[in-house]
Amino acid sequence: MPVLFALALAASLVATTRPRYGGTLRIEMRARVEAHDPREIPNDSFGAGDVAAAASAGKLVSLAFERLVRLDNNGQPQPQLALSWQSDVAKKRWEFRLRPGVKFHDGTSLTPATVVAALQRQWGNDFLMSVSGDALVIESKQPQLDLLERLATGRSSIFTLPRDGSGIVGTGPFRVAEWQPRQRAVFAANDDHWGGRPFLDKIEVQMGVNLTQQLVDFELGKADLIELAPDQLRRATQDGARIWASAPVELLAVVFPAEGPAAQDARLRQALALAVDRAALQNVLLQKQGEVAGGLLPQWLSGYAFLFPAAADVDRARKLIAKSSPAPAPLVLEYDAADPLARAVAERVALDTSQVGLKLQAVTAGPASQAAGKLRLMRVRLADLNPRVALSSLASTLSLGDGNDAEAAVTPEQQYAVEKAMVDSNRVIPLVHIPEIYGLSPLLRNWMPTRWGAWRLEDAWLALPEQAAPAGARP
Amino acid sequence: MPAARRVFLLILALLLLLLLFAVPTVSLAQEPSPPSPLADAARQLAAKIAAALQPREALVLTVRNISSLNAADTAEVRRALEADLTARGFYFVTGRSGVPRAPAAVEDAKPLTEIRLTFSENLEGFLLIVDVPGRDLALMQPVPSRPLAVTRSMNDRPTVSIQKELIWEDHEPILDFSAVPALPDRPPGLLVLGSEHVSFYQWLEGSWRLAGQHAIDHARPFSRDPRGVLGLNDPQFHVVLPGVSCRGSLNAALILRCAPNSQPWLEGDTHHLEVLGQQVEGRNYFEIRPSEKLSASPFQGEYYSVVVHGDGDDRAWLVAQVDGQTGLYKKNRELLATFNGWGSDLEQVATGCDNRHAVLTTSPGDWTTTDSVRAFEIDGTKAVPVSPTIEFPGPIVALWDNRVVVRNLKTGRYEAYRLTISCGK
Repeated sequence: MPVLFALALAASLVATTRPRYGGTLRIEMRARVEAHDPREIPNDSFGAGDVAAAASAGKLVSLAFERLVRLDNNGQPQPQLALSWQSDVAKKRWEFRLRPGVKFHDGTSLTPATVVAALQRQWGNDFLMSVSGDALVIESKQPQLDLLERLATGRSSIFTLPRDGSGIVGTGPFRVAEWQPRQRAVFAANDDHWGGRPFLDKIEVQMGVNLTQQLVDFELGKADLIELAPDQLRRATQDGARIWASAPVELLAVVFPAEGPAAQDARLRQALALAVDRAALQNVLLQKQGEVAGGLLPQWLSGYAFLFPAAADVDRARKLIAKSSPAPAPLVLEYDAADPLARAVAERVALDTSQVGLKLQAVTAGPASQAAGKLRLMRVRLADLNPRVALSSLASTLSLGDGNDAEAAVTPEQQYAVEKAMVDSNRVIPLVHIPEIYGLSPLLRNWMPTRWGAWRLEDAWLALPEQAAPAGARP
Repeated sequence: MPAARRVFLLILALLLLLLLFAVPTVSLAQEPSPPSPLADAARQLAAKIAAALQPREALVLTVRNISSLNAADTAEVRRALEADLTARGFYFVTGRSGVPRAPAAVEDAKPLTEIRLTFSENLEGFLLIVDVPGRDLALMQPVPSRPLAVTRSMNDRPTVSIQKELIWEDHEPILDFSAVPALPDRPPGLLVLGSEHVSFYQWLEGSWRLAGQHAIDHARPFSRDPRGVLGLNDPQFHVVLPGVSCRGSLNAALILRCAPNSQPWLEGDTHHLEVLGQQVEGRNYFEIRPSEKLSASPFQGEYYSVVVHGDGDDRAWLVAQVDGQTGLYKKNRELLATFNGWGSDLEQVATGCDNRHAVLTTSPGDWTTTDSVRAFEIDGTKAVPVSPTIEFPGPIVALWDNRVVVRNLKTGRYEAYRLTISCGK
């Protein structure tokens, strides 16, 4: 594509290490985000649409709202609005000292009282929160081992509600300049950000753009950052895009219903688990992105995922089916109609099961609750970077128990034992772990998201040569 | 010579020797070897294995590495694991068809047990995992912290030799640093300028200890790419940051007094105070504004760094401009040459080769790429490379004289390096 080629050429002419100021970063996304209010980040549940909406909402919210704590690339808590913290030995009382000189976008100062108000609005009365001098105190009757991780999530964003009713504001590196629900958002640089003004002047976000259109817009130089599906990688690469993939952050799995013949037949479930060729899913459908999933948590998070067998064993699956008497009834696998990848995977699973004598029909389904007796292809996003919390959340989402066992598992060995019990039940058959994939303009510099895909656009900048941008392509 | 005089001269010589060697010893290399977290983890894993298996089993150990640990680290773990298990009465054979290292009687008596050691890692760090095929057994041992590899590079036969030495590393940004020589009543030290404070470390009882820390008051937020310099004139030091300048002392304790400062920075060759750049508020670049005083200035406009090159009529400015190009300017803003492919930091250093000077340059890229330093001599309008390229494990965020600060892409930590530049004969 000539436009992209020109951009790449222009970018190559800009040789600089230090960031440059200015420019508007144009982002396109599938999701339609309703609000930039951190209290309204949707829960992800079934299909890719929900997962994408929840993840995208979190990303947009993080541009304008910060937390007391952020997680570094190793998942370790680092200061954000809190400059330091300490806890008692029992981890029941935590004291946080706030970063001085922080201002909300409306010009008011960050105080412990505003932090308490913001957290109480999101957490309810789970904790006792108070102000002690210039510090914030959070207390609980139970030890809070994961409090720092919780404070680093989007549901712990710090905000204030100006009295003039102008709407919720945060302290983030960008402020919301324009918000059209489910359509478009514009974020402007916060000149007074405590960490320094971002390098970009503005970020424009176009919502609800399907992946095909995103790639077209990218090729025409109308977007700098787009989402990509695995089957678009080759075309995007040929067009000169830089590709970035996160660590796998979503699990795609077949979930058996709680009731019905399939739910009762352990041999059938095992046969299905052995029949699926996960390597083919990863190599072909995911274009070698992501990883095959024998377990629920990805390898980068647990460290022990490789212990779960993921290879297909067609002979053994056939024998298990042959032993079934009477022969298993045909299965129905529902997938999200709006998710092309889910459709391709469901059809591949149907093909694999047919090889072992098991009939399975892939059908589309809406976001309604799981129909009785039908299997479901679910796409679940990791809820947390703590393996214990992530496993507990997966257990709840996938109806693998209440998650209490996972909550109590502190060491990797304990977590492995809990996860193994879940996987061995074959009530959920993990297939693949999927990354987020982006196409990046050659002009975009300092693209430094976390390995799990959280944006860090405050450090991003655009290598805009003074006269090299194609006319009309950039505002 | 009287005895007292001999003693005095001896003490003086010792002091001189101490002063001579104090600065080079301000490095991580001086620290005694800490206990290896990998070996400790291996021993703890061995204890778990011993508890899970039958006593005196004959073991076949297979190893695979799916982590980013290097071969030396995995070998260290394997050695520690085998040694600990051997001490606990287990026997190893080198493989199913290998030469047995255990008494034949033992192997005859018991079947071999294969244990598979996998070097893995998760978000928090490395994980040693042992599983036993055929048994529902998986034993795991996290390694508490990631081992840090200190890399050094040496050049073989360059015209100009550049050696880099890792001096310090920190989670927080480092803007500049300065080694503080030892005195008879003071151990070697290190001053570190961060974006929010100045820290003074001293080498005491075999480790670096924080001897003092002083916050830097500033009314306005600094740039996201903050720049600051630290100058030591022992025991006094000064700090210059955008809009702030500080004077400090190391006499008894760390003392620092800061005040708003709107004066331009002095750039380039400090013997020629003609480059008066003003850092633009909230930005990461400097600006030389048109003025009568600077009407003959070789360059006016925005830039990242500048060095003054040459003498007399040959004097020229080498300017790393914000448009990504490096320009060579003579007086009255005559552009002699443009150099592409350089980064945005320049420094002039003496090479030790016949009183010649060279310009150190960084390489182009952004904060997602590794960086390097290379020395060039300016010959007329040409830049001639005179040293090999010295690689760093991340982007260079500061280059002041022979001091380099890098943000390590693997660890995310800021690393302070000192460059030693010499004529490579």
